[in-house]
Amino acid sequence: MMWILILGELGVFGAFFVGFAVAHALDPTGFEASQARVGRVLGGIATVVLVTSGWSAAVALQRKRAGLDPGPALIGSMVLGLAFLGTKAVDYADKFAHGIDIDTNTFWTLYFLMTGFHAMHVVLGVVIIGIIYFNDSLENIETGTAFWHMVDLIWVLLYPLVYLLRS
Amino acid sequence: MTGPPARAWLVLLALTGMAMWTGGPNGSSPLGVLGIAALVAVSGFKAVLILRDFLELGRARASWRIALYGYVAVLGGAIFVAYAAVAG
Repeated sequence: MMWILILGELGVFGAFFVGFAVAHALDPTGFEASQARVGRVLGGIATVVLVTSGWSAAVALQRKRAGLDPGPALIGSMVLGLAFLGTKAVDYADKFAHGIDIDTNTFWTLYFLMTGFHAMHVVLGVVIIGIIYFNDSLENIETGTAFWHMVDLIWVLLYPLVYLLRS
Repeated sequence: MTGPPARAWLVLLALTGMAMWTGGPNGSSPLGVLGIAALVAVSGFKAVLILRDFLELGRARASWRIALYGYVAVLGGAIFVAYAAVAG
């Protein structure tokens, strides 16, 4: 069931990614002028935080299989997931302070939709990891961490596309 | 814990730095076709590492491996074509 959900979410984000690339191709100058104002370094820091969270989730599964307590690694994943959301809060606050919002232009509409939709998945992922912390059967940990790795996977594709890639 | 997840994590950190360097932390100069290809390739490899070593896709059925690795390949290819087509 979780694999079906993961495939569905990947399909939705895939459509977003292709739509973003096509919109860029239609207006490369406008997109790249807007993209110059994204926080590339902050986005890179967010990437490091999220992949470290993903590693911690993988460690939790390894520990469970080895008969060790997966709890500390799951807490590490949750804390880093919350830290990732903190970087998004800083990012959004900076944009709003500079008068940039979802209605500014097509680039910023897609920026807020894609990063915001991803952030919602991070929130859901933190909740799921919190649930499996208290119900830490091997099956639950496999299922919950699979969702978290999907969230991680989407970000490592979203970050270069939205923050770095230009013609 | 060591093993594939730890190795993948270290490589992911290094590749994230490489992607930031390729994209330029503050620059707005054109990347060109080679820069676009490098960035797409690095990002695709990061995605494969997450699928293989974090999600343990090797334990899944072949159909899932084909679907997920194929997803990364098709998406990367489409993004590369869309950006390379308008590269200066």
